[in-house]
Formats: sequence, C-alpha cells, structure tokens
Amino acid sequence: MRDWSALVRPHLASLRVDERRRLEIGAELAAHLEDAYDGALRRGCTEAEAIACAMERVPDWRALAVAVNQATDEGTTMTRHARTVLLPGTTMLLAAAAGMSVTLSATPADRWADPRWYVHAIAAALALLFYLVLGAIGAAWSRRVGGSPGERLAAGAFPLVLHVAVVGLGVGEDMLYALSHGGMGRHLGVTLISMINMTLVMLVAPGAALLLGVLPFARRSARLDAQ
Amino acid sequence: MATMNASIKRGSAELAVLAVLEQQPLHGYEIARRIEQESDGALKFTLASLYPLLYRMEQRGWTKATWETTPAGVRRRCYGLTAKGVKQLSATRREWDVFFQALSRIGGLRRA
Repeated sequence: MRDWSALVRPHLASLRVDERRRLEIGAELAAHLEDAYDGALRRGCTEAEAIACAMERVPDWRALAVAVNQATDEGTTMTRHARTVLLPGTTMLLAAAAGMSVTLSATPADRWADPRWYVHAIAAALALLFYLVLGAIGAAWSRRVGGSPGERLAAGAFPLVLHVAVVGLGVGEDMLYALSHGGMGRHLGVTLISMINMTLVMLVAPGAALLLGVLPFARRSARLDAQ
Repeated sequence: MATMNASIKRGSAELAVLAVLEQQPLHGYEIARRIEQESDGALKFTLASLYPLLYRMEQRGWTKATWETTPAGVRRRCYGLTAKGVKQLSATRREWDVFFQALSRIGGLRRA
C-alpha cells in the first residue's frame, strides 16, 4: 500500500493555514488519491496505470496550493498579516508594556541606585529572560496560525516597537534639553553617550533576547509536519 | 472574455457540486466521480479545481463537512448541503436556466 499522505505533505508546505488545518487538508487530498488509485485497480488497471491515474488528478501541485490559499484567504475575516503578525505581536507588546510598568512601579526608588552590581545583573537577566519568553510566544503563536518564518520573526520581535518609541522619546527629550540649555554643541557629548547607552540597554539587549526566543520557531516544525 | 470564462467555469462547477450533494452527503473523490459519471466525462475535476471550491462553499455555509468512517474503516471528509446550500442551489439553477434560455434565443435569432 502506498503512503499517499507522505506524497501529498511536502506539496502543502506553502499553504497559509495553521498546522491542524494543513494536516486535515493533507489527509483529505491523500484520501482522494488513494480512492482514485483503488478505483483504477478495481477497473483492472495495473499498479503503474493506477498510480498514473491517481496522479492525473494533480497535474500541478503548485497550482493546487495557490488555489487552496486563495480559497482560504477569501473566507477569513482578518487579513493574513493581522492574524499572523499584528495580533500575536501586539499582545506580546502589551505584555512587555505591562511587565515594564509593573517593574517600574514595584521597584523601590533606592533599589535603582543599589551599589551592588549583582542586583542589577540579576534584574537585567530576569528582564532578558522575560523578553526571550515573549519572543518565543509571539513566534510560536504566529506559526500556529500559519505565519511564514518572516511573519514569525515580526510577531516575536514586535515588542521592540515599544522600545523604539521609548528610545525615540528619550533621545528627543535629551535633544530638546540640550537645545534649551545652550545649544547642541555644549551637550552633544552627553547626548551621544546617553543615546549609545539607551540604544544598548533599550534596543540591542531586548532585541537580542526577543530574537533568541524567536529562533526555535523560525523554521517549520518537523514534528508537526511529520504527523 | 477570460474573466467571463473563469466565472462561467466556477459557476457551473458550483452548480454541479451542489446538485450531486443534493442527493446525499459525499466525500471529495465521490463528488468528482459522480459528476464525471453523470456528465459522461464532460466535466472532470482535478484536486486543484475541486478542493478550493469545496472549501469556499464550506466557508460560505453552503456545505458542512464532517469526518466519517466508511464501512471499510477508512476516514473520509464528507460534505453535506446545509439549508443555505439548498437555497443557493435553487438560486443557481434559476440563474443557469435564464442563461441557457438567453443563449438559445440568441442562437435562434442567428439561425433565422
């Protein structure tokens, strides 16, 4: 007996559906080919003729995937990017904002100036771990709803939007301060150093943590595809 | 002309599928086989023409699909007509009636 599912599965990789639906479509198409093959055998065809008869039903696998994608997209109320990027990404961004807000309000003011380096190191490690988890959840969510690797990356890295906004505000405020206190020349050094520091702390570190979280979900799941 | 051709094709395929499902719920292969058989081989479906159509019809609520196990013990996804599908079938039949009548009138004029 031929494994029709194994034949069909690789051709459905480009379907923009979640893994459960992909498996369901694969099972349905495999069943169709199996029925066509069995029907041909019952009509007295040889094994080779029966296989050819079944394969006649799919002259172009790519056209099949495109047509299924078109049919699936037509029925969705949300656009594709809303489902695969904006919804998971915005949720992770809100989680990051909530985490940031809770941390700021719950940390006593004197703790920020704590002279012990390891207090800051532990806090930074916890924050990066939190971002790693957010990146992973965003990417996993996007993959679950059929996101491409690029869309998973965008969904996982989405909380960076918040950081870009915060850094933008910080830099803008710094520049305004410099301008109002004797012009850019006098405060340029201070502004540049604070910009570099802010970029490292607010963009590079959390960005790297988010990307690390995304990585395991950036490729298609071999386990799910094998089912 | 290409657009009209595509819409005629899709419309006729919808009518054919709805009509065979009116008789009883069927799975994909059986739908294609019956249409081919009842049209004496004039209408043939590939997987690329049948399944996207079935998925569209399901999304529009014209059909409802359920996984069923056949007497032979194999699982097949069977499509049955919903009430909305039955209404759609009547509407599609009327549209095609009007279309064919118009065509025959034009044909008659040309012959005269």
